[in-house]
Amino acid sequence: MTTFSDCVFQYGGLITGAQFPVQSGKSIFVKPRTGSDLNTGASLRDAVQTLSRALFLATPDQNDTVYLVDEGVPAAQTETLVWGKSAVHLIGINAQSELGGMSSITQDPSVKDIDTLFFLTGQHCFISNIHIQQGVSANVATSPVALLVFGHNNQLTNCRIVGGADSSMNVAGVRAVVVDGSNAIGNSFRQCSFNIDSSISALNVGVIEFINLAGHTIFEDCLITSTAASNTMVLVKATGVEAIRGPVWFVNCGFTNLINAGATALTAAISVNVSSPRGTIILHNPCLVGATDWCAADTDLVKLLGFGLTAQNFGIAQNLTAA
Amino acid sequence: MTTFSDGVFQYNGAILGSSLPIQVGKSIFVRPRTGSDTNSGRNPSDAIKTLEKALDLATENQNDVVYLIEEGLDATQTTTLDWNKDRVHLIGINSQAMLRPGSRITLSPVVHDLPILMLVSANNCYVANISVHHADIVNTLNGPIAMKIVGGNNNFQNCWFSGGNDPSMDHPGTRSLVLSGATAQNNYFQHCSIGTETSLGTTGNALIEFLEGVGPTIFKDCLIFGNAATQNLTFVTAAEEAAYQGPVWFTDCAFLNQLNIGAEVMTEAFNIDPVVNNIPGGIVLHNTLLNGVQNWFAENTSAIKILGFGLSASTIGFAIDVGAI
Repeated sequence: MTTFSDCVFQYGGLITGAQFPVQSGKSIFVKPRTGSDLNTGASLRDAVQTLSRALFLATPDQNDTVYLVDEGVPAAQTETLVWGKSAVHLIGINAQSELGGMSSITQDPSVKDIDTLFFLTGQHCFISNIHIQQGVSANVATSPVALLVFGHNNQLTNCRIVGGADSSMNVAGVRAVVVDGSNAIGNSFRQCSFNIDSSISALNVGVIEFINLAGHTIFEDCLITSTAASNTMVLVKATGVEAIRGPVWFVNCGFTNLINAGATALTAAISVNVSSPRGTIILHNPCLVGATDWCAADTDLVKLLGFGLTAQNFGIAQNLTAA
Repeated sequence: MTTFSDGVFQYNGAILGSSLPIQVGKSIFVRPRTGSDTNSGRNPSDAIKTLEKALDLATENQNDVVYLIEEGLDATQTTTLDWNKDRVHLIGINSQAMLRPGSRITLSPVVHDLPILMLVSANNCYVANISVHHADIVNTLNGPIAMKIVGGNNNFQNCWFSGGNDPSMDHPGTRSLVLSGATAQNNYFQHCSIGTETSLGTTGNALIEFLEGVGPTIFKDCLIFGNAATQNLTFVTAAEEAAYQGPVWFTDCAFLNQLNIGAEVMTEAFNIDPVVNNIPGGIVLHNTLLNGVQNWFAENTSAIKILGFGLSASTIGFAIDVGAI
């Protein structure tokens, strides 16, 4: 019998069954608790400790994959993690439960001023089973954003993105996700959950925001949640000048403001800049709980197909405008 | 080209295509028919016999995986199987059919009155392709439970949880699945079947129960099925005070009372006390289907939000407004 001491690495990096048809680039393993950045990262037993070291070891455009192993300790960041190498993938090894139980990336509790925790500037990256959670006591950042997407053609699958996970992050700029710019086009989020995790009373907060002509984006089978302490909070925000080029599709998504946990009912789930129309938001078979209506006023910019459950209207398909 | 004659073990334990992206912990193989607990469990040809021994060999927080191989004989339990090590995963090796996958955990025929067949007290576990099937031919307990979960962040994929599979188990407390406590949060069930094949109908009998402040939970693409002997069976009960905090999402799920095999039409699908559990938005039904029941709930409540289709004995088709808010 032939055996290998280093498990999957007998292939020099060829991993099968890792959510790719095959893996063609090299593997880099990260273990936040037991790894060391003096290691090579090339096998599980020689794992590095930090994602920044793993990213340094990866080669762009080679389909290298960084595996973040859940061993009970998050990958804590002392500064913004800039995922800036294209076609370098990030996969968490964990139980893969959509609401938790994933490989976590957090803000180091000793650092109080990180505005963006994870900055995705790379393109053609596949990211799955990752939990990005921004929450630190005594936060001083004025615009804490858990995930800022600037690159294009990335796919995030089964990820959990949480912003504002501490009461000190009760500031107007808090976001779970921001999709920024015309370069941010063709990104896809599948079976992900997005949340602002603490009770937020700051005005005009959004869980997801589009800015600066964000390009077409798909959210499929996703869950967007909040615990609002102000009715001005929204789940999706696109209020800036020419915020969306779009279109942005939300397909089979659930929008839930956690009124079960005492949240204040939202006036509207989605806020768009009607005086600066460029793109469209399409809601295909969505579900809404804990908001008075999808939008505060009818607008051509938001199309709803399927069912809309709100405090005022239940059930049957509705078009927010007659068109 | 190098080839291997002994299947997956050429990788010294690293399994490919095992539903995990890759496996980083050690593998432990269980064969209920041909294994032996004196073996190492480290490869399929040296498999152990029992899940208890496999769990004993696993190390928590290392992402070890226990593989339960179907070979025509169940992993029978004489005591409650307490899955109590965090990040120890359990995967059945079988055809992966949604309706009762072949790697089965059942009650030993020589044992009776086991209150809980399997308990998941651990966190961050991945469980796939497993049947937990509770059948006791001489049960006298009031509330035998097939699967009880008190841990959190667990992911159940393509599993079958079935309780009360004998007429002697037709008691008010019989359950297929119970989630209990605030620690039972962020659990995720996808493509699972939950219910019973036996005709049950004692008042209070339900298939799923929430107890003691259960946290956020998702059921996605699941089938919840019953075979009601009377109108009193319910699919979900949360009758005790502060049973859940939620939200509990049922997305793309079907609730099916098997009228096709002679079941009685049920009065309501959910038994939730609107006084002690009036939690607006606590339960969300997104694109769900109901068959063989007069209504989702006997009276309107803001505790349940429904979006999608409701097919019942009295209403067919489109969304039903169960609560005003």
